[in-house]
Amino acid sequence: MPLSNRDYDLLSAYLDGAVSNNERREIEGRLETDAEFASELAALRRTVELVKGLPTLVALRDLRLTPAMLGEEQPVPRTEPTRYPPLRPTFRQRVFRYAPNLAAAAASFVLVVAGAITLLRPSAVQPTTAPVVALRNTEIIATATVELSEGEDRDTFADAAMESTDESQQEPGEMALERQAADDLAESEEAADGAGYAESPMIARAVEPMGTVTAAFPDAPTSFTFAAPSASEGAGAPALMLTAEIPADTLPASAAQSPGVLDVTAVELEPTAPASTPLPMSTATAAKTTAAATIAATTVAVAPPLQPDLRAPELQTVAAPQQTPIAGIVLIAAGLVLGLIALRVRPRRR
Amino acid sequence: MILAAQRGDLESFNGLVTRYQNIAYTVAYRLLGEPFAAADAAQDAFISAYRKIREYRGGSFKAWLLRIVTNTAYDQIRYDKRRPATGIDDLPGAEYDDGPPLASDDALPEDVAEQRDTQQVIQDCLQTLPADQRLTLVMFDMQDYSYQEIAEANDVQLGTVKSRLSRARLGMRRCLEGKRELFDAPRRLDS
Repeated sequence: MPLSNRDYDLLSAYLDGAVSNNERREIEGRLETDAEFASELAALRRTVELVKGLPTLVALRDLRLTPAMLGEEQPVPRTEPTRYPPLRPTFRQRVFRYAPNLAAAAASFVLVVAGAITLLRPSAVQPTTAPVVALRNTEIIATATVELSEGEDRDTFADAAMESTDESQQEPGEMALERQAADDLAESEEAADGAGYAESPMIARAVEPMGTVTAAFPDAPTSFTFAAPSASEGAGAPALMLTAEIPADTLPASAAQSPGVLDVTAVELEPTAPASTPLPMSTATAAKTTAAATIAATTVAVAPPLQPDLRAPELQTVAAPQQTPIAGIVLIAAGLVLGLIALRVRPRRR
Repeated sequence: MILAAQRGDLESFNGLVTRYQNIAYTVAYRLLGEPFAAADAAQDAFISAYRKIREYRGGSFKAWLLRIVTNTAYDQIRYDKRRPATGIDDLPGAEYDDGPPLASDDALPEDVAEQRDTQQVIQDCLQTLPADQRLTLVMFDMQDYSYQEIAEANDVQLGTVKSRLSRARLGMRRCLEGKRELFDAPRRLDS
């Protein structure tokens, strides 16, 4: 008689010890009388043994997990988060942390450098003003009319002139002019009684003057040249023309702005003509020919400025007084302030 | 190690994986009957266990873990039922390529082939069982779950568990009876 499903359920449960006492007595009673029932129990028991006897297999691969398998869904630790020691900031983090300080320091540096450049650049040195440049090549010409002082000296001069004229007949060249001057002088004495010798061309022409002049610029080496006016200038011409030349580079700067008057107060004429002088004056006579001359009026004229002397370009510019470098000072001050800010600003906290 | 794993220590959890990965793989293989699918199921089960480990409230960690493995494999069975596909192992002759997975126990070389044949026969018979019966048989006879635990795990009545287990054993007995020549005389099922 084939077994029913209930019979197999009882046998399966009986193998597991999961039957009631009544079911146990029923099963065990039937096993003694029903060979097929007992055979099925044995077959089931062996089947269970075979199934339970299956070995544990070796996993086909390592099944350990990796973060990649878990993705971003790793569970958050339930305990307090691990407190790691502070990490040393990376170079980029340090740069960003000190970025304000670095920026302020860089700006400070730029401003200070710009201020220094502003102060020291060549454009800060102003070129020499035109009047100063012109002064280098300016001739100060003082023109004076010399009047011989009245007295015997005047006569001495006249006599000397007359005498020398008479004794130098054999020299027709240069002396011809002087002779003519002596004649003119004699005529003038007759026509104009009491006329000053100083205004006489004869006197002037008869003298080779040497003298000293006290000028308005005592420190400036001044050279004076006395010259007789040419004959074509006529009787109205001054007796002597005094020309004072002052090197421009030694002339005070103030003279360029205001030439003023060359204070030539007096000139002492000492007609000590050397032997080579064509003036035929005897030594004895010459000893008496000391005369004093007074420059009645002097004027100083500043010649028009010449072009800069290209041969001396270094003289074309002279360091002029520096202008107040406000811009440079302001830049440097701003740079220093920024530098202080850079030092005092606290780095950002992470 | 379990506590450390519950705190999120993956290394500690991998220590548990190392300890239980063979049994987890074996259970998955008994249910699925295919090595790669079993490895995948076991791997998924461990991932799921890692994510659920904070829900573990003590008791047998092995039982808790194998329940996850069983559920994962069973889900795979139901998925395969809905989407049947012919795998490369289903092709003719594929069953002779690699044979069943090696057992973890050492054995003499001459016994290995015989044991593998026997194990493959049993495994093949397991695959002939309906999924619910196979699951119940594996859980009770291989994982030592109780009736009550199986009933609760599968949300069925206790009588249903007994009935499924009885049907599974009967199916295995009839499957193995047809291949009695593979067994030694003392181990013949009808001896």
